[in-house]
Amino acid sequence: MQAPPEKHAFVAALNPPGSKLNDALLVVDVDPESRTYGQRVGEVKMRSLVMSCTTSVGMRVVRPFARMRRIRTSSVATWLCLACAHLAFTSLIRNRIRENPR
Amino acid sequence: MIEPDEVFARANYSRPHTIHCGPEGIYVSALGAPDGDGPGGIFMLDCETFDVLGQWEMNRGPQFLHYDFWWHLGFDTLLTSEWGTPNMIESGLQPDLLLSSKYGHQMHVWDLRRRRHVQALDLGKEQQMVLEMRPAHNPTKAYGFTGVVVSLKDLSASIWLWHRNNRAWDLKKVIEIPAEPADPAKLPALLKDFKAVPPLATDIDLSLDDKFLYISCWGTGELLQYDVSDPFNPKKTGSVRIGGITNRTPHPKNPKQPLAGGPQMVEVSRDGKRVYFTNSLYSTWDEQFYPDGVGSWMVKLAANAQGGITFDENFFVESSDYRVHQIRLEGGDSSSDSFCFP
Repeated sequence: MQAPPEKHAFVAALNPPGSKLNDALLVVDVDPESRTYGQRVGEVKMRSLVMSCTTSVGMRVVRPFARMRRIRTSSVATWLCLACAHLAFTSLIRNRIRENPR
Repeated sequence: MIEPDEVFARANYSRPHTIHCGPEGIYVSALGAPDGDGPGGIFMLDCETFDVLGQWEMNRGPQFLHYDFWWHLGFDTLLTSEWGTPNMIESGLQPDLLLSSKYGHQMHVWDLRRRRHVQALDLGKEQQMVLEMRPAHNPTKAYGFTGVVVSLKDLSASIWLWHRNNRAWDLKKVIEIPAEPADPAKLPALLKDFKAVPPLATDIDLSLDDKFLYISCWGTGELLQYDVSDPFNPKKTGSVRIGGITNRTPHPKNPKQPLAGGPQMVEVSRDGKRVYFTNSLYSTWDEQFYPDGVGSWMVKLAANAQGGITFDENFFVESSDYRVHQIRLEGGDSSSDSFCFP
């Protein structure tokens, strides 16, 4: 398939139940021409959860959230949806990623 | 952010997992009900407002367990797989449930437009945990692949092809990956008696041109590549080793550093030239299979157009503060893109 090479990867980054650390969406530089290639260059922290239960197991990019019957070609936003599959704090988090996530 | 109470109240589901953008809205699978039991299913979000609309299923027939889903847009068909309810998985793999075949061993076919169950396809009770659904991206093709984590018969993992046969859907096992004999002293408690490492096929991914299938063997620490141009007769074309329950294979960048975890969530670039994967599965399961710590790393492979995969020796991302899981690529990738037109 023809497509320009990606320059960033978005990675669901999690912490186990009981951990005091938050979950996050990491941005990793995957552009071999970049001086920060192979490094984390961004981080969107998910809210810290009081009940410490955020093991999430799935993330999907929803892009550009078109209805199949009514495709919006003008949409320019990329949305990342992070579904957190754990206990009562099951939540769905979305972040708008701008052109330069840094 | 959509709060869990909204999902509970409007859809009676919890533990969302897979998200795809599809006809009439955003589809999200959920492993179970708010109390941690079943059934799991799919709920819809409004694609403009992100409001939770409710359960997608009009008639779920015999379906109870849930995990992944995807579709054949050209055939108005949706497909779902089975792992276990939240209560069956959240505290780890439960050996008694596994040995009595209580984890999922079916996939389900649904009418995408009428939102009704059409057919259950049983892989056999010994086939435990049917996870990722990877249909052909070409909307004129009615076949796809799903992976089984472990067989109770011999600890093998397997890949199954679903396809159309006599106006219904049928299944065929097309790849079997055997367990590898191992010294019990190197095995976690759960596996000692078996004297073998199961491959544990926890994720698979199909390239956008439907040519190459990638299989993560999280137990043995191997990522496999098959040419599936003829989906009924896959041909093995590549393999790399890293991590693994007993092998602990290092990455070429740090050849002296043994690694825990193994190939897990795998993502293929749109042009099929690059493959990325991470090493963590699910915290409680990580601890069962890698009790001395799973670590957290992400690597990248170069994929040859004719087959064959090799590590990018300069790409090894380690994290001390998170366990890395699913990867999405800028623009799109092989596990998110759906084609509406051939």
